[in-house]
Amino acid sequence: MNFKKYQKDKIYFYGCLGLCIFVTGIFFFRGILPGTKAWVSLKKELSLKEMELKRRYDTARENEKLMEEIEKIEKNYTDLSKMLFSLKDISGAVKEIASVSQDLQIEFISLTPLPAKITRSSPEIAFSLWEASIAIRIKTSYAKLIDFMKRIENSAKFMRIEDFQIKKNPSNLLIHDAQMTLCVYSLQQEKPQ
Amino acid sequence: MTVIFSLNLKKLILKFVFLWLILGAASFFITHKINYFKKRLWEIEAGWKNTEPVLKQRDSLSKRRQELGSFLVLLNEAFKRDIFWSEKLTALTHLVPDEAWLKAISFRKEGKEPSSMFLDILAAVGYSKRDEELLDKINNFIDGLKQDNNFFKDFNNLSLLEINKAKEGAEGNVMDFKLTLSLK
Repeated sequence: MNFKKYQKDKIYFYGCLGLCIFVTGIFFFRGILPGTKAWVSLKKELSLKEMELKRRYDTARENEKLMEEIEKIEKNYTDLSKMLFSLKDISGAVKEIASVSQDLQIEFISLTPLPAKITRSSPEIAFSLWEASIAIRIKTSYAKLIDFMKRIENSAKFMRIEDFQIKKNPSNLLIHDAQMTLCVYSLQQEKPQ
Repeated sequence: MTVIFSLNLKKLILKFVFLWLILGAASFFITHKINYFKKRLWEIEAGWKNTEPVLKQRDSLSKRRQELGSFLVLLNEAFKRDIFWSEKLTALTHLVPDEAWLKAISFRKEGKEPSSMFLDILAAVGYSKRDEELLDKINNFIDGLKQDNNFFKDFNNLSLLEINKAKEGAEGNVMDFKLTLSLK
């Protein structure tokens, strides 16, 4: 009798133990383990995406700074580009020189536009900087000559005195004969005609 | 023995229940965390969508910045002015001593380097019967040019090329001299 009860209890005990181990195994292998793996992988993914999002927000802030910078550069560029001449209409430069000469009542002898040439080009923007030279000869007093050069150098449109020769006029010591080459610039996308 | 098994069975069940409780809590915690991560990922992805225009804008801004930069490089190089000749010649005029005068001034370029650009000055000095006095005046003029920082700052070297006696007369002698200055 006792032996039978003992056997029965033993079966119950080991049966329950097996069942519990089985349930625990299912619990562990179907719930905890995949969950832990998913946790680890999601955490890694989250950390990467958080970094990327931070980078994007930083980019947004950098964009604002970049826009401010571009605004300044654009203003600078606009100011500088106003100082350029249009090569297709070199008469602009000629007019400017003639106007200065007229204002200062300088005797004008000759003005010769020389062929334009590319001085610098930028492949990134497909634009070239063209330099046009104008050779001029004038006859005037030294003081007016200096004024003329000052007006040319401070002109709203950029003109550079590339070279010059000033000589006293042999027949009138108060008069100077001057010849100079002035350079003006233009930005062009294509070669001038 | 029977008592032993029935007691152990109860203990076993209690232990497993305790273990399951722990595993359940862990599972709950893990599920909660996973849900939180998923929610956060969803938020991040939504944030990504919002920032996509920012990235596109970044590309266009960078391109514009680079383009403007190239334009500016071209223009700045073109508008680089080494010397304002009107100022230089005004300064030169003030440095010419009494009884000396400028006869010719020229600026010539033999190359693109500043060191191959020269300002040539032909001047004359008078009127003295003593050549030493005229030579002193020329020396003083040269020293004056070298010492005047406003004038000489853009030049590297000043050379006296020649001195000629241009005229001898009752009112005094006149000497012509030629100077050349090379740019820095």
